[in-house]
Amino acid sequence: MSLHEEYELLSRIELFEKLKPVQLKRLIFVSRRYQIEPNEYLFKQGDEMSRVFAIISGELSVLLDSPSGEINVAMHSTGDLVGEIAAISGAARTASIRANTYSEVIGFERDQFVDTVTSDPPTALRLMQLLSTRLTYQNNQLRKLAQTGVLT
Amino acid sequence: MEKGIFAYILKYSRKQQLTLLLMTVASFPFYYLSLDLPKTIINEAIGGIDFPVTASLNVLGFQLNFGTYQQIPYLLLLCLAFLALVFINGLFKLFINIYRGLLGERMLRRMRLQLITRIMEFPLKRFRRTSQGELVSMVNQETEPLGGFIGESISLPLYQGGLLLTILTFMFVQDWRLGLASIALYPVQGWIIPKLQKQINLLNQERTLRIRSLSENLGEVVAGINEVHANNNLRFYDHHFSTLLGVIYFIRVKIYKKKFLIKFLNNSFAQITPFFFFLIGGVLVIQGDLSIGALVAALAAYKDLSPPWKELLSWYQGQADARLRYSVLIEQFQQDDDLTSAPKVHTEPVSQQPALPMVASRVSFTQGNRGQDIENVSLTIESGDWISLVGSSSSGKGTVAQICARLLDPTDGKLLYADQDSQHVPRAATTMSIAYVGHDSYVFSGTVRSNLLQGLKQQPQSTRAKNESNSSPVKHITKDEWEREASLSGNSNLALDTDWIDYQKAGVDNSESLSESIANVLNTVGAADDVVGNALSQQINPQEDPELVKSIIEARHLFKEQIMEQGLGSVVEFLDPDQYNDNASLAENILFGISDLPEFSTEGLTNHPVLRKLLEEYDLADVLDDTAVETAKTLCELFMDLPSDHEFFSRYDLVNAEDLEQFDRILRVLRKQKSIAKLGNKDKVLIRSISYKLVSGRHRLDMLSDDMKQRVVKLRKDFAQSLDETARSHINYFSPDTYNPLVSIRENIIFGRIVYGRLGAHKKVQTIILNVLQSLNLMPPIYEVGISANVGLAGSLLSVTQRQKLALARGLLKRPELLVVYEGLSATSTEETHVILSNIKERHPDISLLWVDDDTRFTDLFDKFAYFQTGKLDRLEEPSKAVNLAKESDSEAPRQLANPASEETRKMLKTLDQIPLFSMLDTHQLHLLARACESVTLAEGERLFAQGDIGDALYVVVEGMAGVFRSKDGVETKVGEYGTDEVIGELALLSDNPRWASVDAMSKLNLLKLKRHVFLETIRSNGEIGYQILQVVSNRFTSTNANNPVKSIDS
Repeated sequence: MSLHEEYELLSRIELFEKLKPVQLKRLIFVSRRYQIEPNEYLFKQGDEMSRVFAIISGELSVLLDSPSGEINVAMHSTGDLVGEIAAISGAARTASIRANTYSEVIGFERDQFVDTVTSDPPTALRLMQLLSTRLTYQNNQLRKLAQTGVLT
Repeated sequence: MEKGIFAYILKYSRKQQLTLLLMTVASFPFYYLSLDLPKTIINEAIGGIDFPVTASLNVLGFQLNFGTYQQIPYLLLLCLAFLALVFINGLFKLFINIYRGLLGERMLRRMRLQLITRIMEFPLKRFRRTSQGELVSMVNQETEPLGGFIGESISLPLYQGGLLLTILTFMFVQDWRLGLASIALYPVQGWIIPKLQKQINLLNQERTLRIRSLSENLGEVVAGINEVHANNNLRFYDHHFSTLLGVIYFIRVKIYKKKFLIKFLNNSFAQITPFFFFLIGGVLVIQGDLSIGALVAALAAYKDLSPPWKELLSWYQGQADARLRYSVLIEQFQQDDDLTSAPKVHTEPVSQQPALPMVASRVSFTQGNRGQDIENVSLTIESGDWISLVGSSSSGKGTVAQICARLLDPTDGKLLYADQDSQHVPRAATTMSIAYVGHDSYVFSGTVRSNLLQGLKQQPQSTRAKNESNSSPVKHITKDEWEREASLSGNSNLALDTDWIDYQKAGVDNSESLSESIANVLNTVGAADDVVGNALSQQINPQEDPELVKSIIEARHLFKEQIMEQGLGSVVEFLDPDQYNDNASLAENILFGISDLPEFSTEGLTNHPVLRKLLEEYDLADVLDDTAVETAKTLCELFMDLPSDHEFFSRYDLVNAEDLEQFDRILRVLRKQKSIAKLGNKDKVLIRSISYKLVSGRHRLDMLSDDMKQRVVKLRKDFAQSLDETARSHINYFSPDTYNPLVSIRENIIFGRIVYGRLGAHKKVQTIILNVLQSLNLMPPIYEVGISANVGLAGSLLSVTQRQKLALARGLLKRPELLVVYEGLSATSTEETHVILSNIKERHPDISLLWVDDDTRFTDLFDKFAYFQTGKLDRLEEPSKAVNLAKESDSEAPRQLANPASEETRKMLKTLDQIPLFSMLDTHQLHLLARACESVTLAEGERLFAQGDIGDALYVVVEGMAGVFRSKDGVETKVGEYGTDEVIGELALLSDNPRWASVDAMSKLNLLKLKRHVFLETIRSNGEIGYQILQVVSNRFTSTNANNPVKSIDS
């Protein structure tokens, strides 16, 4: 897949919708593409945050460490963005990601990603909205858990 | 040092000056004879009539006879005698001049060394107010003219004065009136010239000080060049230096004017004298009172009279100048009372004194510098103690550490080292038992090893040479001459290859076991990996270590084996003469080697005639040109409008901002003429080199098809064969069984390219390399390479962390009793610091540690924590009672809000400032937001908003109470309250979710309202605010966990 095709794919990602083409192209141009074999980890929970990934092809699992081993909590596939929120806060990886199939991803260096996204106010706003939606969702989940008595 | 220059000269060069003087006096009779002889030649040999005549010479009343001669032989004899005298005079002059120069240089060498030693002995506080530039200027420039003067200081006035007297005596002997005429104007000169000279002296003094200040300023600008660039001060400093130079210029011009005025006067006076000669001498000859021969001789003598007089006058000027320079120079070195004694370096070796137990009782240090002064500090360090000095940077903790390390002398109080008062123990003796590591510890240019050994090079270990080579650093000078000369100048006369390394101090007997110790300390400070890593990046010369090179080739094969065994074949693409390497650039693929000739660099290849022909033959030339142009177009399109220092450029290796402008220009030219071939040579190289730099695996431009790659491989071989022998000998081809000296050891082992696009590839490769090195027992020699690696000027090739670790290792290597670390590991993380400290405790159990820290850390390692506050020891705690300062002083001081516009805005700012969401904003950004806020007041019982309403604003309670009510199945229950400064509904700022509950005023309620659309508008116009807020939100998002839900009214 050439840079141009990568651009076509990434421009459809919600967060990148409002970016000017040149900004996104620039970001892609300085990015790197990585290949991941099945069962190979993209990163592990607790790793230092250094890149944001966009999935070009393949299917990857989101895994959480637990006393009884890793739990599969979600799935990522083509067109998904991974780590865009942690990129802003700089927190360590909160989950592991492992490839189920042969996958290809684009890795953006954290600084470049953050620069690009925040230098464009509409995109920054988009990211904020994305965040608050997730935060609300998370709060609701927590409240539900609290109501059902899971939490004390 | 002596107060005056003549005192200094007499003290250090009395003997030599005497030699010079004797030689000078010895030359006078010959000189007199050479003046006298012309008269004899003219009057007796040429004008004589009684022949044969007896040649004789009257020396101190004794008549020496040289036989009897006819006129012509007599003339010949006298002329030959004259010639001999001229020659003898010349030889005297030669000897005196050389000896004078020698003497001057010797004194200069001595004086410079003395000054340098003085400088090194300055107390630390002195360095805080003396700039480097000033010191350099003093030692180098200001001493230079002194050396010249010292040589002639005594002998020149005597010699020239003697000459003058000789000539004058001669003249007076001829005729007293002539003699009188020749000195008639001397009193006038003697009166005017010192007056002028005095003015010049004052100007010279000013000039010296101005130049010193220039050096100081220049030194400062160089040291602070980052600030100058960051603040864009170039123009400012341009002007600043212009001013300084201008002042110096005008002083110099004044000096010149006066100097040449003196010269003019001297010359004029010198020319007036012949006037008297011709007049008085002429009258005397006409009257028959004087022979014409005598007049000619007197005239000839007068010609000789003016140079010594001139010399005397200029000596007078010179000595005035030198005296002044010397006093200005010495002044700088006499300021400190403790510097009055003579330099101590060359005195007898000091023997090491124990440092512990160290007792400081009521020690104070005052310099009027808040934050560094300390008052009445008492502290005891017993052997084996680990003490942490905790406090803020202005608490004086650092001063305490430096005093304990004897880098500073306390201004008051008592300091005991092993029961000895520090005032009676030389500093050098104690510091041998103490190691000091500061946060800014200096790394000297040289190798890692030479830096580590610094702590062991305190005294010469053997004054005799290790090997008896008879050499000196200067060609044609033998060792004996070298050493003799050094003693004559009061310089160090130790043999050049003196061994300085104190093995005993490091606890070893020879250099091999020292290497082991070095490896150990580097391991202790956690630098072993860095050393190996650094070693692997070095290039080595195969001739220097053929054994190692052979082993590296072995390692190369084993590395490949292990990569394959571990199924990591996709991580490294090995170099193969028959394959195109996707992870190497096209240029590398074509040359398949590396060369130090510019014609085989990437740029050089684009222009190589042989290669160009081959590319056309293989039908590749056009593809490469097209790709280059296409890529250049894309690059321009994407990056043209970025500022030149944008970090994209540093990340993207293909292009920099300067090239882009060139590309843009070239592309415009190409639009007209279509073909690269028609471009100028420079442009051709620039644009073509793009495709040569492309790496398929990295740049993803799909330039070459598989078929084309095959053709490149074929072309590679053709290209190598079509080069002549000389060209080929300059290329180190990649060959599986040959070591390539032009690439690093690591690259030689890998012999391939690490594949782009494999995460963690470098780490995996590194692990295998280390494995391989270990299994081949190659670690020790590789380690040796790492330790012998250059660290760059001031350690610039190392990271701050590496430099600090190196400094710590240097301290440990000398096995001190007491190790003082003043924030010496400030660049490493707490975890790593803990590991290093634990290592030290475990491997060097007998070392005491005095550690300076910002806060209480490592309570498991330290025995005591000493807390400092404003220069006083606040309290001393056991680790069990030690508290964290940051937690103790809980809340930080509130942010200072600058220039509040009005009372209301100030209140608003204060309120906003406390909202966590805005915690990252600076004052300016808060102001922007405050402007967007409005005030809302509700009466008691009024509803702010109802459950289910769409949230469109954030509220902050300024005054009053608000209740939160949640309705479920028509029943409203109170679930919470909001009080002053609490924030209601902050998530409404970011998205339009419905409210989760209703909010009512429980009392009169004053609120601050920030509407969403206003807030978004502010963010749109100022992306920075958005980013700051994003950071806070995302932080909360990532830190939210099941036990800590975000308190929010928005559902």
